Amino acid sequence: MDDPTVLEIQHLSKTYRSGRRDLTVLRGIDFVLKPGETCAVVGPSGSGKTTLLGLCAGLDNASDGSVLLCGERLETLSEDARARLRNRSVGFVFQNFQLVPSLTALENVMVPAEIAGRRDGLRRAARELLAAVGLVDRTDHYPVQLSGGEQQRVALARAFINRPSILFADEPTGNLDEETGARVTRLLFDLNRESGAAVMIVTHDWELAGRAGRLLRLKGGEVVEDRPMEAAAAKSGDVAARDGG
Amino acid sequence: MGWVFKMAWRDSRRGRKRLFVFSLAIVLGVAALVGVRGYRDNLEMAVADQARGLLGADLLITSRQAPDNSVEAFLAGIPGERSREISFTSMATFPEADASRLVMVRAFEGGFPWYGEIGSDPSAAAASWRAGEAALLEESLLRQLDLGPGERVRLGGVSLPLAGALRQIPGEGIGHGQLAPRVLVPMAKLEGTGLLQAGGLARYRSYYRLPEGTDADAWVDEHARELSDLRLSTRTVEGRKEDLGATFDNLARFLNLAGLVALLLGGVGEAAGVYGYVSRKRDTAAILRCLGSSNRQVLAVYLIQGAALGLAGAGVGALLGVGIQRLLPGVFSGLIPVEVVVSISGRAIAEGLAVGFGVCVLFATWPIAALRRVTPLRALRASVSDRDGALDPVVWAIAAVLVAGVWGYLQVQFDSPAVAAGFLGGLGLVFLTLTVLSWLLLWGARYLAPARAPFSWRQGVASLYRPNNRTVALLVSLGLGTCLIAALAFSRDMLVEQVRFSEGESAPNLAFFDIQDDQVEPLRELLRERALPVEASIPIVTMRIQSIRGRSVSELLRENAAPGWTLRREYRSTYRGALTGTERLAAGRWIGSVEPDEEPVPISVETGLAEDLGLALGDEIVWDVQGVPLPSVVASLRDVEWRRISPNFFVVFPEGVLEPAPKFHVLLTRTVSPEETGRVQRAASERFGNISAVDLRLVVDTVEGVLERIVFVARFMAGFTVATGFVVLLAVAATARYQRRRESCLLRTLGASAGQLSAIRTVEFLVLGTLAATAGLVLACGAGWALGRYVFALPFTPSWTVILSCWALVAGATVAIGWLTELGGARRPPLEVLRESGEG
Ligand SMILES: Nc1ncnc2c1ncn2[C@@H]1O[C@H](COP(=O)(O)OP(=O)(O)OP(=O)(O)O)[C@@H](O)[C@H]1O
Ligand SMILES: [Mg+2]
Repeated sequence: MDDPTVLEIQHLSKTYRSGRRDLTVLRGIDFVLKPGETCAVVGPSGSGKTTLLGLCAGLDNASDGSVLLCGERLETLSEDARARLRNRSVGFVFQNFQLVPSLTALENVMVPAEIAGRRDGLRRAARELLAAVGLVDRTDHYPVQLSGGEQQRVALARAFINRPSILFADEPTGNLDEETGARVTRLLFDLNRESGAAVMIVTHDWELAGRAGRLLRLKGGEVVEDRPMEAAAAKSGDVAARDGG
Repeated sequence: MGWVFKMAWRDSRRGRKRLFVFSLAIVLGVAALVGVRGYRDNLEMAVADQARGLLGADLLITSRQAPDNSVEAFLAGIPGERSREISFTSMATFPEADASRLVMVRAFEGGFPWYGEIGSDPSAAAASWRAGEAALLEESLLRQLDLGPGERVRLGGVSLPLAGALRQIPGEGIGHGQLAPRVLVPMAKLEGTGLLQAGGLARYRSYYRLPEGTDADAWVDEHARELSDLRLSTRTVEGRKEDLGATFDNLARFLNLAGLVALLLGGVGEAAGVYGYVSRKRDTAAILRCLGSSNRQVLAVYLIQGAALGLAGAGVGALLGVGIQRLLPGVFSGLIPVEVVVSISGRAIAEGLAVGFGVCVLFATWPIAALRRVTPLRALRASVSDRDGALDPVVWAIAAVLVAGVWGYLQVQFDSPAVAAGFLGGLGLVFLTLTVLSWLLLWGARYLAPARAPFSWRQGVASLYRPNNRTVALLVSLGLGTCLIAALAFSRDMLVEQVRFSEGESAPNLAFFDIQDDQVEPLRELLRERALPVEASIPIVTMRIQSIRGRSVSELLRENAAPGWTLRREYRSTYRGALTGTERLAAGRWIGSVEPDEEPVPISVETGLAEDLGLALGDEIVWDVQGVPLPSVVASLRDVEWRRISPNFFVVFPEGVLEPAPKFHVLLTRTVSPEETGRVQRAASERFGNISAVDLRLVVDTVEGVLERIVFVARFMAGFTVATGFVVLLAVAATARYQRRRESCLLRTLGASAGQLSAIRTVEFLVLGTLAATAGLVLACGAGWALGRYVFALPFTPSWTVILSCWALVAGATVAIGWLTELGGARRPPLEVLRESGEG
């Protein structure tokens, strides 16, 4: 891709209208994510992290501002065009895994590629990814038959099947215990190293945030801190403390 | 697009069994449509094949009076071969069985039937009876009296050996022999019986085989004038075919309607089931959208499942319909006069598949369309609600297509926009009323349920209000079934009530007919000897219409001024001083007696006949009383309750005029037992050969028998709707199963006993069944009241037997089906049940 940015957002605002009151959740956010860059988004609960992620992925419409994702201006695209873009260039990992309950692990991994119309070698690719997350012997199991950590590993495999340019993850370890969370975190960054995707990851998990190259702190719908992680690492205790509030 | 199919297939994997159950909801409706349609095709074919056998001849000419010379000359002049028949009712005695019965004597001469065969047992008897100077007796009577070939029947002065049992005469259904069993005798023997007397009612028929190439209908048209002048009525094969077609078409329409109701009800049930299924697919839809599938693709995944559902339902339905088609000849046996050979009708199957598939897909699309509103954000934030706009245009479009489709179907069936609209409106009204009733009952059950009821009761009732439980849909579908069976039972009761004597035990139950003037006293004497009361003695004078308002009958016939039979028929009129219990004065003044020389005579005419003849008060009619003209004037109009079995008359004269005319009498008496009836009947027919005695109890039984047949057909068709109601229950209850099991697991964890859990389930379904039965019964009572008031003119009192048995049936079946749905998944460990995220 000759475009130097994967994600570029300008003056992004989101206002929810509930009844007569307006609730502005995001106010004029700007930032740019380069290919391969990894960024952790932190901030207190209710600060707008999930909202931001949803807007960046084109799951929702912004009230103001613009999002440029992989060279496409989202607000100019139709819903279907955005879906196609997501399919091609975006991977997702969710807090509560979001596997399709009626499909087996292997089928879940294949879904994005199948939507894209890919056929050749698909099953093998999916199997390899499942092997990479250590679940090669669970390919035919349904989500209910898997533990939370296993489900999230399947979700990770699914996120990478289409070799996305960017991976969005919303608290991927939020529903997991510390040890399992750490394993998922390790896997996420391992897979990403191979694929070279940019990563935008919302998290309360210091361990996870610490692995990202950049830290973006939201508060009250605004970016209050945006800096490389090397600088932040020194004040790691500080990050955790403030985030906890 | 390949992915969409793959996804539809995979996604349905864990719910396929359930989807199949949903599709079953429409199966019975489709089966009914296919079965009826196929049977109709078979019947059409049979009628075309056996057309000439429908009449046994090319042309049938009937006269109600003994042909005089001019008529005989005309009849003899018709080209082709002729076979004659004279028929009348009379008493027959069976010495071996020591019994006598009223029978229809039919004397034949010549080659009838020209086409088809008389069916008999043994089959050789049909050929031998004429040559062997023997008689063929209606099979039912032969069996009833336990008679065999060689035993005898006495008709007046003649005694004939029985050749065998009569099963079927070409063109006559079994209904023909039901009121008066048929006895076939050779014409040569008729004279000797001495039963054919002037004043008695007989029919004179001539069956013709016309020369090859003669068009019977054209011949009738050519000779219309002579036929009407000679008071002859005709029947041709084409005419018979049309009558038969029209009769069955009417029947088929209503049967189709029953199928349609079952189909629509099934559709509603299917939609309810699919709704539950789809509402658990919202997360999947959101995930797929996140992963980049378009809205259309997600819809397509589920529409494909819906279409598969439609194919399965319509396919199984069509298959079942072919089976139903095989049952129908049995259902209609005796009502249809041709032998129907069942063969598979491709058209019926294609039609059923198309209609079933269409209905199924439409009803499935209804809930599936809601998936369009799922936003992908749902994957990020579980609490996010679907995009809403109050009215989804797709839902409206589906509703419009459905209404238009049903209307179109009805329009094709009835070929009348008004009737189609009426049925559509009625259908809508029934569904609406049931829905409202269900809401009210559901609301009532919640607020009126005792707060201190045991835990399992409260828990069971609360289960009905589970979100997505589709309780109202269930109440409507079970309620509709209940309503149908109850309304049918109510109607049957009212019909039977109408046939029975309202006076009960004191009513006359034995009637003597055709008593000559000089036989009245001896017969009275005979009754006196046996201490039997004479309840009524009614004089009857036969007469024909000569002219109305100065215009002769032949003129009126030519002008088609009134239905032919009203002008041609022989009227059996009476004279008396007062109205009877089955009559009511509708207009004019009742005149009970006149001076012997008063002219014109003031008479009273039945309102229906007056309408047919176009008569008003003051109109003049000249009667031909066995050769003597008698001028009369319409002085009053009477409403007559014909459906009561008692001697009723079209025309009643005042006392003082007809006394000297040749007449015969009807005498009514009351016996205490059937045995006594038999003894009196026998004694009377031995003393007076010409007198017929009719056991009115038998008549009532016979009419009831016919009624039961019709009720049976109606029940058979209603059965489809009732059964559909239960299939819907099965389908919908199965969708709530997962939720129910989850609740059970939770309660179990909290320490509830297995006994308590099953009590909760039982209460849930018992209350559901009871509410549904209540809704259906309330509606049925409304229908019963309306029928009683506007159709049967009887006060409606719902029978507790019907109400209680309907309740027991519906509630019992509901509980049973409820338990049935619990069976399937009991083996799954509770932990897995609790862990499931909503996909059942
Ligand atoms: N559909 C909505 N309508 C109204 N307000 C909403 C809606 N969705 C989110 N909000 C509000 O927007 C704010 C930001 O929510 P968001 O989920 O983005 O926060 P978050 O930073 O992800 O919090 P957490 O860390 O708890 O996940 C919250 O106050 C929330 O109540
Ligand atoms: Mg969040």
